Amino acid sequence: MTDERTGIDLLRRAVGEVAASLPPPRRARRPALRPVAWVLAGAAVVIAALVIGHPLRQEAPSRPLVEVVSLRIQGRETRARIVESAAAGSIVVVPSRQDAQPGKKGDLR
Amino acid sequence: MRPREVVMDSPTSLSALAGEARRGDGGAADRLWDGVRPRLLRIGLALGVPAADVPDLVQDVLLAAHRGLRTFDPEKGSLEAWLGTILVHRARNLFRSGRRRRGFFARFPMLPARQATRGAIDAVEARLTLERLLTFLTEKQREVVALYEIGELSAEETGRLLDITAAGVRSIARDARIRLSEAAAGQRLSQEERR
Repeated sequence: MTDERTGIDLLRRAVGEVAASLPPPRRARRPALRPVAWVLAGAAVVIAALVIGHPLRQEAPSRPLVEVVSLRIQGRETRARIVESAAAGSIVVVPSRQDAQPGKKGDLR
Repeated sequence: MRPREVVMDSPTSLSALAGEARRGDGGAADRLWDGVRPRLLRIGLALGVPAADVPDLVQDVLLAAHRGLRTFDPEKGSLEAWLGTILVHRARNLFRSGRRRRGFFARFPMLPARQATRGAIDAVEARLTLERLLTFLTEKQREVVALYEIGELSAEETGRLLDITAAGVRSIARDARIRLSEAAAGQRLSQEERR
């Protein structure tokens, strides 16, 4: 009668010999980036996004404020425009004399 | 130099190493994986994974274990059983993909078969013996033999892993041992006849 352990012992020996003949293990692969590197990479991405997005977030130049006022120039009632510009400050625009009709108020629509 | 296997003989030191590795100790992780690798290689071979594929399979298992070490709960089972679970699942996937691959290449008989590299004669004979013996076992018997007999997991752990009872594990292992012994006797007879 065959011993019950004969086969499993043969298998065990074969497994041991084959395992011993296998090539030595390669070093365990580590994650490509360590956690600190991930943080740095994330910070770099955020900074890059801020730099790229910055011009887009600038406010569009506002239209100059225009106010129409009545001024008395050389005894004549004249309507003038006062333009408020961030770059140039307050500019008063009045119609030239030949444009202005005597006895009429300036029309500066 | 082959790694010492001393840690596998001591579940306490394994658990301690696993704990240190979980806390981020790289040295402990290296010692842990070096220690468990030899047993995983043997289990993989006993499962019937081709010897050429076993190192890569085990490396994948260890990589998966390293990444998932934080999810390992020692209260749910031993580290060896946890690794065994990963190994068995991956080996099953490998067998499935291997069957698909063989089926695909079988449609192209004109393609030359890849020649296996031959190592030492003893290793080749051992490989042939291993392959031949495993053909006498069913898939379930192979898994039980690999984990319970070769991997030396307990019957309870093996049973939990394979979803069978501990008594079932012992019964399957006994049947497998008998079949292997008959196969070994047959091999001895054929060797004597050749002489």
